[in-house]
Amino acid sequence: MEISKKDIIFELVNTENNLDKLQNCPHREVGDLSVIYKFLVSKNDTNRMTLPITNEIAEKIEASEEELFEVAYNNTKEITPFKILSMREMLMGNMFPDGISEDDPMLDMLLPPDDIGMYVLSNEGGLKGACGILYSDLLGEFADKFEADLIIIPSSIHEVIILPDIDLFNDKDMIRSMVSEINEGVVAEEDRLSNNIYLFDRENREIKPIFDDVPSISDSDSLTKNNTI
Amino acid sequence: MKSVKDLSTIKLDDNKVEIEKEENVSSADRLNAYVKAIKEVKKED
Repeated sequence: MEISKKDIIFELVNTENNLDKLQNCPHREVGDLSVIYKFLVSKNDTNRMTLPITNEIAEKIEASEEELFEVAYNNTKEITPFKILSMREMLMGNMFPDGISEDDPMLDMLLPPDDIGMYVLSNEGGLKGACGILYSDLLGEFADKFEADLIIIPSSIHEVIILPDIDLFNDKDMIRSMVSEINEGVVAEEDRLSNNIYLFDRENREIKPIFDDVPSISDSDSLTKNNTI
Repeated sequence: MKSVKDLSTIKLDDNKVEIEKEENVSSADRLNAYVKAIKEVKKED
């Protein structure tokens, strides 16, 4: 098998839930999450084949974690471009993959209105797209549009939910319960990203945890600083 | 020593690597659950 460095991409996983896997592969901890690396072998509209980069493979290709991050950072946004859609647009694509007329009364029955103030960050194909939060310029431009900090709910490893209304949640314990309940009740175990919620600080272009007992993404490696999309 | 940046292609032994298949899955259920929950939060305010 011949693989190119152009095929190295990254994704985000929950650190605690993947301790065994992380022991055997180069990774970078960011808050309660970890960045892991893969070769993209092939992809089409419905699936993709990947080869996880283990310590053994990294050693074979003589790549440090820092090098993998740099290469994957540039590749991932090119190979699987990120997008931020309104919740309505995102659900429309998910629930009506073959398309539906804008006038169809089903739309307003089944989908939230566009002004609900919820947005979804993912990538083309919606597969392992939560790593889009590692690109501060993407979040920064979105925050500038609303002139607000952003609440980031890591809804799964495939996407995150973005709320530009930070005053929405005054009761932090209630938020944590909400995310935990949805993770346990609706999200497949292998797709769960985190029970925590983050705040994107528009002024400093940094992601911070909302809860004090969660390690800060920015303190870990300043991942979201100085990285441009 | 060559680094990953210098490599144009990398040869790996097919018998020693494990390829994973990743399939697209609908996010509708979990996103709808969040829509419902957030609506409740807004209603309480």
